[in-house]
Amino acid sequence: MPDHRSYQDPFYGWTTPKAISLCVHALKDCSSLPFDSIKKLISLSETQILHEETTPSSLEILTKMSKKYSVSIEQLILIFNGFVHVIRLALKPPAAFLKSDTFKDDLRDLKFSDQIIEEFHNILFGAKRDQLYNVIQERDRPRLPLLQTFDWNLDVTLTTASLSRCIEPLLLFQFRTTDNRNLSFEVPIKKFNELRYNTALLLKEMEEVDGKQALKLLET
Amino acid sequence: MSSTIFSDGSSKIKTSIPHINSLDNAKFKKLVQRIADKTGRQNETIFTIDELNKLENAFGLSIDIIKQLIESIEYIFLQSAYHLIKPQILENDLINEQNFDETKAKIFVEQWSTSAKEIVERLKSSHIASHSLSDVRWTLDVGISQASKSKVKRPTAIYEFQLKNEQTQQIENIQTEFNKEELYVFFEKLESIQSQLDALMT
Repeated sequence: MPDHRSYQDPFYGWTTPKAISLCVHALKDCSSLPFDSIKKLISLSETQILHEETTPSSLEILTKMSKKYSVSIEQLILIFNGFVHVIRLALKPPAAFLKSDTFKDDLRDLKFSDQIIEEFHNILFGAKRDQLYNVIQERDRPRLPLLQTFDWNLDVTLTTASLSRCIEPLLLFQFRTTDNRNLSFEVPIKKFNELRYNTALLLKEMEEVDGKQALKLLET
Repeated sequence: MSSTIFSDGSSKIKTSIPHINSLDNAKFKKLVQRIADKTGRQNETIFTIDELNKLENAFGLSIDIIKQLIESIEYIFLQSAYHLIKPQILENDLINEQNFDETKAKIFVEQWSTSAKEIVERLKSSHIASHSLSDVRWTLDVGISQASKSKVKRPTAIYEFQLKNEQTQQIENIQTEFNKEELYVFFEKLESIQSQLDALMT
């Protein structure tokens, strides 16, 4: 069995990223830190990725830890940062690419201790695996405004100032988008039919994307 | 005295009728045709200032009288559309109640028979709401890579809704993005609207 290093780059890239090398260095310096606290840091970095909004509380926890174990906060930040980087880099390639053994080998090459490697392995292949991958793919990318709410009114116009007997359907839409725009507008029935047809067409095209030859290269 | 269709505004048009009756038939026909084409269009004037001047020379009448003429003819069209009058009834009313010349009345009614459907359609589609959807554009993109993930296959639909402001005629563009799930939800909403429309029509 040829060594995976001969045909596959390590998950972290061609060279050791600075953040990770600084992390390993800091870990060596803080050898007084019990493994429990390191475990806590690793799980904190997982939470960091899953729930980005809680960054201020992460800092609080780090400060508390620094006081408890009399280790400087800068060292802890370096270690924490390195851990977050490891997880992000591991989540970057498609899920199928990251194999258990190669992942552990790569982490060994980075000079992490076996205990730490075990922790990382549990995170990447554990219960929250799908959630992690989903968050990385869907949340951490630029998106155009999304349609948050879509309300509609179907009225029937009976008479108007210009026609005594009318009986025309009147369609009103209200869109609220994620960039806080609130739009109310009338939709002529003809345009509604076009919209419905085009949406169905788009859905069909989306289904067919998987079968397109050019995109077969992206099989993950 | 039987009531006329135009009872609301008959004083408006009374003064124009003798002028109408005095017009040359061919010219009257063209005039009526032009007015019928433009009746019911929002935000459009029927004749420009230059055209009004040309009419002044063509008919040998002052601009004020011509303007009144045009208004009266337009008014008759609008009232006929409001009540959805049948051509025969219109003809009778014009001749008997409004003292229209027989030939003129016939020309008028002929134009009405041709243009009635169009004028009513135009009036039906006049929008009251401040904005209306004038066009929908879309593209289907496939995301293949991003900063956080090296390889993805992510079909994304981008819609551009063009909304026309009825007052200013300006177009506002709203761009939104949908992934597959979001697009399905949107489509289901459209389907439920369609089923309501179908229920209305039966």
